[in-house]
Order: sequence, then structure tokens, then C-alpha cells
Amino acid sequence: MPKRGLICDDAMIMPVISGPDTLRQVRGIDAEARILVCSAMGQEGLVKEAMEAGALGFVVKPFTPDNLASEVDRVAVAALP
Amino acid sequence: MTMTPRLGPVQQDALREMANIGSGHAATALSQLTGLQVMINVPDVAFKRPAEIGATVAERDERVVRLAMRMLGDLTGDTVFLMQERKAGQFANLLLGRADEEVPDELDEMELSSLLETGNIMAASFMNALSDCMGKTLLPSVPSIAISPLSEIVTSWVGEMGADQSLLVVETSFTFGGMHLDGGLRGVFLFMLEDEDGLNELLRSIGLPA
Repeated sequence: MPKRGLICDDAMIMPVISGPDTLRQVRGIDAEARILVCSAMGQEGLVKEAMEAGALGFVVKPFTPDNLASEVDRVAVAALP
Repeated sequence: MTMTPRLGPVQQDALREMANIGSGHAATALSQLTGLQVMINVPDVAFKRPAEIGATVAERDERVVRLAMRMLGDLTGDTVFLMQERKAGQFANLLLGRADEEVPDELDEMELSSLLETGNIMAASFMNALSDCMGKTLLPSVPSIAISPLSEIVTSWVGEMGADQSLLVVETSFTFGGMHLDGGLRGVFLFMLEDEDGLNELLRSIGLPA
């Protein structure tokens, strides 16, 4: 499987599978996946759940291009869980 | 699902203040998205029957765009953003960075998608603020968008809830400033609770008797 640089997940709420479950499945496929979540759902409980499920960063919408770029830079070198 | 209309002045003020905070967050998000000044009115808190909802947005036979998101988790209810169809076209042009272009007669996929994502961010911002105030997690559903005469939306609410069902409706009007738009650009955000348990939970979370 080709190596991914960074995975940006912008769907925390989906009809069939939840955002955190998606993150767990991705992490199960690729333990070194660097995942950044971009979501409008910035509630503390949801952010915590996403981070525990394997996200390395979480950007709450709306964000500026600079916010996103700096978070991408941070996630690219962050320690894996 | 039943709701008995009853709120004392203190409870009503507290709910209005919570809605004000939620709407303020939503307005900030909208302002960031559009680059425009976004103004909100003092939210109106009232018990309404489904047929009474939306009357401040459009005439019954006027076509409106409805951006809806169901709220689940510790509180069950709905958030809805309503805009006249033509205004939604102007809004979509703004979002897509082409404010000077002619307003489309019919919204295409890109325009609908930009409106849907904006409705999503707006409702989520409101829920995030409410979640902070309550110390509870509110789970939104997948957002949806529909265009139809207001009367059809009201009919669907009557079908889902019953004509005589009272809902707690918090209504906030959003107006966009700084643009020369024909007749102004305005939408109405509704936060609707349809059961007693939800209202009690909300009141308890802010330290008021349910």
C-alpha cells in the first residue's frame, strides 16, 4: 500500500460510521498514519474522542489557510500515539 | 413527545442569553467565512406550534432554502437555518467569492454544497457554545439541505410533530452588512426543542429549576 503523507479527515459525523471509528480503522490499517481532523464540531468531548481514536491534530472550522498550514506542519512531525 | 408551554421570566431570560451566546458564535463563524459584518438580533424565545414557525422568513408560498441539522446526545432537538431562495443564491455567490455576479435562478451543486457546509459550520458553532454552557456533549446529525415553499416545510413539521404540538423555538435573525444587496441579506436560525426532558435538562444545566 502506498505511504500516505498526511490524512485529513473532515467528517466527524457520517451516516454509517462515526468519525472516531473511521480514525480507529485507519490507524488499524496504518499504525503510522498522520491524521488531522478538520471539523466544525469543536466540542471538548468530541475533540478528546477524536484524539484518543488516533488523530494527531484537530482544527475547528472555520479556519484560515494559515491556521490549517501551521497545524499540517505540526502534525507532520508530531510524535505518533 | 409533549411540551407544556411554561417558562417564567427568569427561565426565559436565561434561555435567551444562552441562545445569544450560541448565535454570537455562529455569527462569528459566518463573518469569518464571508468576510462580512454579521449582525444578530436579540433571540426570540417562545413556544410555537409547527404552523407558526418560519413566518418571519417568508410568505407561506415563497420558496426557501432550509439547512437542517438534528441534535442528539444529552439534548434532542433541531437546528434549522431558513433563507428565501433568492437570498440564498446571493449568499452562495458571496461564499464562492463572486458577489458581483448575477444571482442564479436555480442553485447548482456547487452552490448547494457551499450553503450546506456553511449551515453545518453555523449549527455546529451554535451547538459548540451550547455544549460549553451546559457541560454536555451534543451530537449533531449529518446536515441536510432542501428547497421548497415554506408551506411544504411547515407541512412536514406538522406531519412529524402533530399540528397541536408545542415546541420551544429560539429564533435569531442574521443580517449581513457591508454589502449593497437588493433588500439586504437575511436568514433566520431556529433552535427547536420538542420534548419536556430536553427543556428540563437545559434548564438544570444552567442552574435553574426545571
